[in-house]
Amino acid sequence: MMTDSMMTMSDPTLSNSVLPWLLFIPVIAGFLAWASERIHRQAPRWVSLAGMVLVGVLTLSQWPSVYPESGWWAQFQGEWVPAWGITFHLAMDGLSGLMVLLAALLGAIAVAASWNEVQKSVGLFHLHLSLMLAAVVGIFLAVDLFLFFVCWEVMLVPMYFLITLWGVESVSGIGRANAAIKMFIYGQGSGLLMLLGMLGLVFFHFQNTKVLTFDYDQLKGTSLAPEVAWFLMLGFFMAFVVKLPAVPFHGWLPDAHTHAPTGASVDITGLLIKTSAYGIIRFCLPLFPEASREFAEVAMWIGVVTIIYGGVLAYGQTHIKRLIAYISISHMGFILIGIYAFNELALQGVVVMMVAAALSNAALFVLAGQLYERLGTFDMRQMEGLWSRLPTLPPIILFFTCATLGLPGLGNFIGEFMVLFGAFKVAPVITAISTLGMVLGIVFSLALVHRTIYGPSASEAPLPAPNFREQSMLAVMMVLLLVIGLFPQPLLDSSAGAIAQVKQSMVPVTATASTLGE
Amino acid sequence: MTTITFASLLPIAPILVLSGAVVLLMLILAFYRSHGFTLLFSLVFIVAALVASLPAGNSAPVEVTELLVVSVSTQFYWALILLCTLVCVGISHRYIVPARGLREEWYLLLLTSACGGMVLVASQHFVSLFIGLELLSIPLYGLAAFSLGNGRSLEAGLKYLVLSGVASALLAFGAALVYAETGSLLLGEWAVRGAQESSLLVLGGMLMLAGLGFKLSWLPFHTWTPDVYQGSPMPVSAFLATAKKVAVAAILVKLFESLPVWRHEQFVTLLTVMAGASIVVGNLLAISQHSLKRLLAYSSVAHFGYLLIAMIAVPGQGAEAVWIYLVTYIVATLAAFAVLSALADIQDDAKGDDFEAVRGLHQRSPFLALVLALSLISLAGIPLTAGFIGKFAVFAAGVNASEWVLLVVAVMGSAIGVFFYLRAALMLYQRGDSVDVVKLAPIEGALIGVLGVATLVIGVWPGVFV
Repeated sequence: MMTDSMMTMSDPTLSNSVLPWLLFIPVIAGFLAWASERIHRQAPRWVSLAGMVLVGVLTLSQWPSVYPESGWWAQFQGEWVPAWGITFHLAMDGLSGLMVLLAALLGAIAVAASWNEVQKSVGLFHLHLSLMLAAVVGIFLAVDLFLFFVCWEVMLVPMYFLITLWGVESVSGIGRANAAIKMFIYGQGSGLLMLLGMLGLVFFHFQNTKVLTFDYDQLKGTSLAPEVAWFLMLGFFMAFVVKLPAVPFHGWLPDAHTHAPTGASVDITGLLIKTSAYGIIRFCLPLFPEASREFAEVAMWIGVVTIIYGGVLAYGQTHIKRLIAYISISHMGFILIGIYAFNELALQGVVVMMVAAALSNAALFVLAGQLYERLGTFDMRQMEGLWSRLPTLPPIILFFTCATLGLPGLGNFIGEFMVLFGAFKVAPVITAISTLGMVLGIVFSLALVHRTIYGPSASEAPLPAPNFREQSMLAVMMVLLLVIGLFPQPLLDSSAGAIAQVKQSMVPVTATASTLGE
Repeated sequence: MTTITFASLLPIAPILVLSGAVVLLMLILAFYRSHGFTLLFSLVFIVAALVASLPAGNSAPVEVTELLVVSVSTQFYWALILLCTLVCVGISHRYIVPARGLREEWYLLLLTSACGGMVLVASQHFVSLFIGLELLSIPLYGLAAFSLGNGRSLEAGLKYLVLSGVASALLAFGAALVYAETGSLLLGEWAVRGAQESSLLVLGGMLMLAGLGFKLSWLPFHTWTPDVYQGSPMPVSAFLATAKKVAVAAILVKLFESLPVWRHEQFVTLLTVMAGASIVVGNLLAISQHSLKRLLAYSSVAHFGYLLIAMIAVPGQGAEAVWIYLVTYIVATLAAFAVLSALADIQDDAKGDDFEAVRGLHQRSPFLALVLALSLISLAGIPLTAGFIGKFAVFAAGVNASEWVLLVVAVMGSAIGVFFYLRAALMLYQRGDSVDVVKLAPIEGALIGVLGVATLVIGVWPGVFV
């Protein structure tokens, strides 16, 4: 034990000093932002924005010039709780690197989106926003299960306060405090099931090897009795599927979005729910390959139901944020199908889709926030005919709506196409049904566009045009979606190594299961 | 029979220091009454006992007569009880200043009770166990009813007296039955001779479980808890929730090791049901409360349900999980009670108890609001606070002992728990009616600060104490 830890401490590959800073910078920036409120009212916004940008830049600094075939790009391991075999182990590969980059970008957009909206306790708001980002970065980088779980649960606390203290009080909804608590209870309950799964895995690993560890690399390949593995996998899967969210565990998401401030909505749709897709790819599949393969069909059917249910419900909404929430639920169905297709094409498609859907949905939430600032309502029945009243924004709404419905040339198309292509080889029936989801996507997107920007307008009074800040953050997301849609190769290259490794850990041991592969 | 020498009594020095303090204080009070002096006197002797209870490096258990045994874990539980007492004494002074009548006896009773708790955790014989338990409980009847003008307080004292008396009687009767079968009152002998199947042992074991289960307010023996917590003065509720429960939990761990009948399959089933019911009912009933003390009372019912998960795993990893859990639980609970006590005084307890009185605490004292919110979040078991570490240890022990059903119940209970803990924490940051600034005594402020920091330190860096 002692020599083991000494070895890890002296191993240069385990002491990358940038990784822990990716975690600590948002925390420090958050507290600085809080303190800086005394200096100037606007200071917290700049401080937390700087923190997010710094995280992005540092992540890019870790990008290798030549992508390694497999393995981590960088690692950091520090002592934490030696008595329980817990270390502060962070690692980055293409998948987590992309996700951290996405987190930094959406974090910055969340700050920008709340520039005018949040006027109460500005410092405290940005403290929570930054802590939330730190927890998300922790989720993406942690390769110690305990650390992962801590970040996973802690993420909910700032989100809870963001919704309860800065949220939108709806007239007819369940109230922001209840919406936030609902989110927390879903998260906490399912998270603890994952904790049981983790402890079970660690315990059985200890029984097999007499080594008490929470380390991902060591726990990978623990041999488990099939039924045990199945239950432990289910614990993990529950946590992820609730946060994804897939039907029937989606109840918290529309309520949380309805009451969340715009910045928090951006983070929920772009980061919070993407952590679960990441979690399945990173933990659920490699830790329990056999059980996951057995479970694949169920998971894919859950995905199908989610796509269709989300799409149908999206069509029926009159509250614009609820509509976008259901659109994002529907997207998560594709992601679930792609993950459980277990081939590189579909998994790569999932990665593209995670990034693209995060961008397009976050942009829609930003737009919803901007409409709210102008109209004072989220009710689409009062938004009709914006094209004639509002300059610049309607075509942008059209652009992002087209992105969500998967218009070729934009990022989402690449993702959905790859997912369906990859999944068709494995599960043609499921894929065929879920293609219906693309049709539904067109329906609900058109509904969104029709209800907001076309039709007769309720009044002729012109609305203020978007300012430079509003335009520029939308422009960034538009450019990125176009880049992903037209040149997806750099994105695919960077995550290829990580996905190949996931795929490799899924390679069936027995020949009978090999039919599921390519 | 061995002769008792001075050296052989050295291991129980903390008990002797504290008993000496009680006797001395009683004598002093006959001649000289001063509230401030009594506080100082109590604090000094508690610290002295605390220093004496620090492990001397000798890890082998030392027997002191047939009655007591001192091991490292005994010393650890002593320290824990003394720390709880220290906090309860520390937050008492300002709280009882407005009391009518005598005030100094308050400290006398607290010290006596702590002394009983220390005897209890060190006992290896049923006689010392029983004496310790009664010495722990009897002063608390007086303390619960200390606020003489207050009907609630009297009710709490009386209720606690009657029910606790019944529980003690059950315990004694149970022990008598076990004695009838084993012919010994030594816990060590019970472990040896109590292994066979026998209806006397089963009945005795059940009665003892009921008696001690009452003290830890496991279902279905929990009904006294909210009333007594609410009626008692704040520092007494704090003492009931922490020091007393620590002492009883410690002796229960010992009994789990020495009563083979408690590890029979039917008993484990019974314990599982008790634990599950405590978790579910405790959390559910806490939801509808509008009094923070009642909320904490039901929360303690649930928390000792979680603790029972670890106890079922005794012997094994359970004992370690029990003490980790107790540390994390008392840090958070003491912090919560210390804050509530700082808001109230003995004449008007409701100022720190009613939801409406505490709403908007952030405007009156951001520091108190932060510590209370932190302790509530810790009780909810959110990571980076102490509570999570305790929950983690208990879950790990439960997984080790394959108590899957109970663990899933605990997960459900925790999810329910989040609801009322977070709602109470949020309440502190909402707009409230009261605007009076809270005046803290320096010692109160220091204790609350230390407890708040401890909640975070244990949560972020559990390596410091596991």
